[in-house]
Amino acid sequence: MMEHIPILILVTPLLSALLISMISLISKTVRIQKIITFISLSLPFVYLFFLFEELSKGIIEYNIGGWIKPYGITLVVDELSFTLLLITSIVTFLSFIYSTKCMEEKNGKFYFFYLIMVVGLFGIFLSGDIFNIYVFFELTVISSYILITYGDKKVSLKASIKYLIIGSIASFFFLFAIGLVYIKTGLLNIDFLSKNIHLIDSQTQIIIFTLFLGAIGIKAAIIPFHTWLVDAHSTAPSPISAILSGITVKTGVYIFIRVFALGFTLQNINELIMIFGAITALGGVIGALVEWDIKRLLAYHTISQIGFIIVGIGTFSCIGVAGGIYHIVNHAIFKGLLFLCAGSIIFRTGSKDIREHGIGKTMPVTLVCYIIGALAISGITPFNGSVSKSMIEISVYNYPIIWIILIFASIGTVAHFSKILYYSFIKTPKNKFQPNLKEVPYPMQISMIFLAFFCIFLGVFPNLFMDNFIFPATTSIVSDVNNISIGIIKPLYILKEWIIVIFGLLLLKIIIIRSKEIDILREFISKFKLNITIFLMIVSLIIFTLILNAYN
Amino acid sequence: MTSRIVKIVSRELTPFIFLFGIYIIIYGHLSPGGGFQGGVVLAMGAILVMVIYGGEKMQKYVPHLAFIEILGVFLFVLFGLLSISYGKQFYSNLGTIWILNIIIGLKVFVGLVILYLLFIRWEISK
Amino acid sequence: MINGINIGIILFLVGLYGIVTNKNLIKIVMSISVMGNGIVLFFISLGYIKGNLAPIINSGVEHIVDPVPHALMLTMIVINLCITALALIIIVWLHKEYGTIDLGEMK
Repeated sequence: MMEHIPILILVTPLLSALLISMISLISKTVRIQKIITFISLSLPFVYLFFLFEELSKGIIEYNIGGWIKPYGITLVVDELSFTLLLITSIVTFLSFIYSTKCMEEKNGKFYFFYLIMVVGLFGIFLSGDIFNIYVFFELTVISSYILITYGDKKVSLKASIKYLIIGSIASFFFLFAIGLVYIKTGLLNIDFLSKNIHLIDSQTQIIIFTLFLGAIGIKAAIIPFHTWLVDAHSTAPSPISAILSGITVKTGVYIFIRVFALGFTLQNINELIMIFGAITALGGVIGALVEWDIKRLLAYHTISQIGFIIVGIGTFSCIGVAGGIYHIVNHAIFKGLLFLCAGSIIFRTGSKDIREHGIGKTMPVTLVCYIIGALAISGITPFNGSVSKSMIEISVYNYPIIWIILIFASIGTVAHFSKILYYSFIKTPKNKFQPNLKEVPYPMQISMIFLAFFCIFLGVFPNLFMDNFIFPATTSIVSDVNNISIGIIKPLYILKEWIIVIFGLLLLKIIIIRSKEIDILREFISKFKLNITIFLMIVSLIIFTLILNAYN
Repeated sequence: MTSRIVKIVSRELTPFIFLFGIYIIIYGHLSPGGGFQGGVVLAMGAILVMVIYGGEKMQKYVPHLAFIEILGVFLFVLFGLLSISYGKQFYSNLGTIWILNIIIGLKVFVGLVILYLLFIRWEISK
Repeated sequence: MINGINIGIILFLVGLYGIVTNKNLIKIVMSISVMGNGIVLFFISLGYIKGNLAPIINSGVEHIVDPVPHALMLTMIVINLCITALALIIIVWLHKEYGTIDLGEMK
């Protein structure tokens, strides 16, 4: 039975989803569905515990149907997959506990789509075959199109159809790249492809890499391709936003790591990837300048942090890649925490605009969890964001321009999160008076407290996680790994962080004073329609192809 | 959609469409076809009748059809687990791929019919 | 000159052009469908080897075209069907909410 665990991880949520769907045809209450979902989302932890023991002996491979490797579909678990499976289980489980009180449900169909999304997410991280990644990705993305429409109807339907159109373009680019890879090498298995892809001639490698970058850029929201993310993540209901921002965007980065590690032999790819990442990191923060809606602010910061991760991975050095992967883990946890806090505020006050909140002392648990999340994303020392952000910033010391852009992005992050803290929690609004604000119900508090605990735990003991998971994961990409132990007290880095905080608070002061110019900027940005954004995507891809052609 | 010629021709044509669909499903492992393709042809036969004669009478069967569809997927996944219980890997070849084709064909047929019925539900209720 | 690969690429580009320039949502969904079919044609003609027969096991057939793209495309056609069906459902819902299916008038 131990050897069948990779397939049991996929089958358990699927069977529970079908059971829920059958029961929801006949029952009137939602209670049984919630119990079944609870059981099926806590079983992966058991499976992962057994997998961890087997993983120490080597990479686990499971051939479906008994067909051996180049002829059949394989499921592969190595340390990178294991890390992402672990955070997927944690975030989806805690989001589910949050959603039992937050979503009013008559039917239980919501949990059906939730479990199908979990099946899709597990499948992406488990598959060892490049076409299988496409299939599971479509499963995830189709269920997320449906889950987004559970928000308030008018805006979420529009966001969902926009996401659908842009996501379909991404899938087709991905398929086109798979087709080109197949015609040139005849293989679809990632393990075999990584040994053979340098046999393709340089011109075709450029086209393949550009198409992959287009597909991955749309899924992971790199800057010319990011336009679907803000609407989709902000109009979805809060637990779904936490999963979308935490995990689904990261599947794009995971596919990027797998494709990047395939060994394309093109010159200067590192610098181009880092430029994309740096522009993304800065663009997310600039886009958030004009927003007063709390969820849209968090969605813009997702774009910015993905920029950090792409820069980290693009350096192709041990510290950079390890920092990037660790930032994936950290970002899932603290962005999930922040979205759940935002959801709690919206649940109690009913409005998304941060100038109308002003809750402060009436919701202490939410306040503390939000402060922990904000400090983590800004990179202050005892929390987990600081470890990964410092690692990424160390790895770009050789490229001073990119380092400066990342510092500016960090300053902007601090400014925006202090803005949310000031307006939502401290400042009481002028014309709205909220008489009866209590704390949110207990299940929602439990999810937030657990995620905050993980934030602190991963920040204070980073070596525990890194030596077991992250550094073995980087060996699949980089050849020279020296185990660096990260301590938490390093005075130079603490000084850098506090300088960033001071500048961030200055920027916040400027934003508060000059809000009129910011409103004019907002009018300008919101005029972009769907057609123009897709056209910009294609133009930027063509420019990327031409630049690569010039270098090779 | 209610002229007499159309009604008579569709009534005579539908059994052949069903027969062809079942042929595609059952011979799926030897000739082109299989579960999904045969299911779509079967659904086209049923939807032809519903387009011409109106879909009001079938609306009350939607939960029953949904139950059959979910049962189909359930059996499909359990079939994979069956091959684990025989000691081999998931979905090994036990010589019974034709059962999988039939399950998929039934599921796709029912699924597309439900899709059509739900699409015209709003139109009927207007 | 006119083989499956070129026509597949042309269909893909026509579909992409259709998504970029259309404002009516149903036309955009049709363009997505055209794009998908272009990819199907492209993939299937990748495996074509000149003079070989269809990939069906009969007695005495030795040279067949590559059957792997056929299997991949079956999966892809199903997924495209799901995306088209879902897009149409969301469009019907949008029409109920807004009264129009034109992207320009919905802002």
